Amino acid sequence: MELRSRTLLIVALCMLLAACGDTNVVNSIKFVQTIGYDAAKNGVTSSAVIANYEEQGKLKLEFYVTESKSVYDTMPKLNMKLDFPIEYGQLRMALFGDSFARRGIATAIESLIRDPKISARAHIGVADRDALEMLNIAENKRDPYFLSDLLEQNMKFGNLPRMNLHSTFFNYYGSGRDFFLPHFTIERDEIKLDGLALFKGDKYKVKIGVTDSFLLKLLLEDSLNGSIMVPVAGGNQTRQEYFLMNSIKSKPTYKVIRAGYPASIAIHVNLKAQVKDVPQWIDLTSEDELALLEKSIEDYCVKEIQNLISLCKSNEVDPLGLGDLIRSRSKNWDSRQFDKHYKELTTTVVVKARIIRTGASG
Amino acid sequence: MSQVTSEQYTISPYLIIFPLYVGMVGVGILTYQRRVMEHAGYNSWVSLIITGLSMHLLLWMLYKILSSIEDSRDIVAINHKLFGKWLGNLINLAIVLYFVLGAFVKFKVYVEMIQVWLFPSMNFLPVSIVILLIVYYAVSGGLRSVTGIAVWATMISCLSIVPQVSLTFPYLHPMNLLPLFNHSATDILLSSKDMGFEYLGFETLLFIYPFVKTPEKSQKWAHLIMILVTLLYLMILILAFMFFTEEQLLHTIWPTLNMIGIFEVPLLQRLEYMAVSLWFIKIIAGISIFIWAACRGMKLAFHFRPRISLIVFLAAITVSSYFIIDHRTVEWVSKMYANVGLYFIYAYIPFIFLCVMVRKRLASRATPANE
Repeated sequence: MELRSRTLLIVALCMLLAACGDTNVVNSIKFVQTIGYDAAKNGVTSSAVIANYEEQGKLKLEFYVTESKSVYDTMPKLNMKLDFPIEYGQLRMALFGDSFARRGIATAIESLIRDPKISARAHIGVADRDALEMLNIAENKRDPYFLSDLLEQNMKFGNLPRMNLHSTFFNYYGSGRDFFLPHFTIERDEIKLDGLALFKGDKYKVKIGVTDSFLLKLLLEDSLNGSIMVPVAGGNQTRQEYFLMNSIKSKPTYKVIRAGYPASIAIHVNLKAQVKDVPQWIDLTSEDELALLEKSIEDYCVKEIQNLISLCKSNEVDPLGLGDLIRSRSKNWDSRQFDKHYKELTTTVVVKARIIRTGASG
Repeated sequence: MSQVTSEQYTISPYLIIFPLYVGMVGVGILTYQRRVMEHAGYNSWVSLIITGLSMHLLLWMLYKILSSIEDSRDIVAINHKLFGKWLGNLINLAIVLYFVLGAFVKFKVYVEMIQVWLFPSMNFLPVSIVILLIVYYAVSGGLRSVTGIAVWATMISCLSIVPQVSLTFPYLHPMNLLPLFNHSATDILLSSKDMGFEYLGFETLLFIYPFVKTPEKSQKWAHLIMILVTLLYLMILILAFMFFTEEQLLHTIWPTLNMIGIFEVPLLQRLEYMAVSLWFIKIIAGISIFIWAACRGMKLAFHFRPRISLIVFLAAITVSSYFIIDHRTVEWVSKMYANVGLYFIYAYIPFIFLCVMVRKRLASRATPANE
């Protein structure tokens, strides 16, 4: 009797537990893992990549496209095409088509961040054509997370600065900051990262290449990785040659020289690098020639950073957050006032490079 | 009214920190950043420090009030002494209702949080009943069992919140805090007022006091927990300010949870969901301490049996939370509670303090004259 009543109690309590949850069995829902948005004639075309876990270990990617008035009713519209309810808690990547991004993505990203189901670590990116076309290629990879893994990998080990939904929002709402997103293209039927798309407000303004994206990483964080080709000229060489520089660690420091207009900022970057692959005439064991390489890295970086900053200034975008820097040093800061004087802002850049590793020979 | 509390119901002085902690820190810690910065923006950490200091002053007053009059060591008896039987009981009833309202707000806000984050389409009536049954169990055990739950709640909250929030370090932008002073003193004080809401709950001391063994010794512990709570609020506020930009924080409804959510740990992809679940025991403890105070008040003022008033209060909470379903009404109720609470601690407590002090002065003048 004792035992039976106790069992009954346990069963009753278990039922209480089971009654609480909204149960979601993995093969009776549709996981949207990647979604793409394109501008359509009057509204938006959304394309969703959904993995279908039919059997263990087997995976089929499904591809659904729907048109709607705005991004808000994408999910209900998609539901009309699906045999199981849609779930987007595992959404890792939202891709915007070129024309959509130029028209402004504020509504789309705001609806993403407002949803507690979507992680702030999700990625967003811009394609150089329609997102639909690019996702079609991604579909061949048989991996619903291909694009987001590609990004993650390149932020960790490559030239991309760290980005996700949270940091995009940080820059979007931050005064004196503009956000940037990874930019994809297609090369030989393969998806390829080819730099960053810089935004003004929520509109895609200008694209920068992979080298510039490394410089941005250098200027924003302690770039533990990333590599660029640096030109070197010297000795009796007539032709300019390149060597590969890997960043090991860097630290940028900003100093506001004058906060009033026209503002002036000094940027100092400390860079520790590894150089392994150099033209044959350079001897990596020689102190002088290492100094020559360091000098070429410094000169090249300074020149390219200045170019990047003037590119930003002429396009009126501020991915570095220079406006924010000025804001933090002035009592009354007005973003419009700053924008008006943004072109007159002067920057001095100093890069201190030190080669601390030269591969096997060093 | 005799005030001797028998030994078996009392708690040790240092244990006072647990009921006070769970009383003060509730769901508010997940959302308060946005409310506090409404006026003073990113300068409002100064406001928080001001509020913290004022709370120490109020706490000191509370101890003075409760220890000054011999044989009346809880608020019900003090009200009787100061205002007579009828008026005193009216005030006592208001205080009791205030605590029930506090418990209701704590409960409803947590239920809303579960609905937003975990189970949007869930029927909440059975769950409310389960939650309140646990509260019933805790409160019917008396202050000792409420304190017991509070100990667990405090430990869980300290073990979870602090490490979770510090996971945000790579995403912090200390520059956000600059410039240091670009808001007027008025703005800073207005933000201080908004912050006061987050401290509501320490006034349960008005009823707990006689249950503390050698209550005078508990004052230093009460001040200690006040300092710790202020530091906790300050730390989370400053971290949130560095994590979000000002405009972004205005668009963020659950800043603390979003901060927790930025980090990815193996196995648990979404840490914020775990945080919401861990909050459960904390809320149980918080509701229990409020309900306990309310029942105690009913018993002292109107000689109601605590078991009956406990059932009545819990039933009232269940029913009203069943009928109040929209967020706007909840917002309105918690705003009202906040306003009432602020008057309670910033007006009523100093007022009582003055009355008690005047009475004491008169009494000490009267005694030598009699001799």
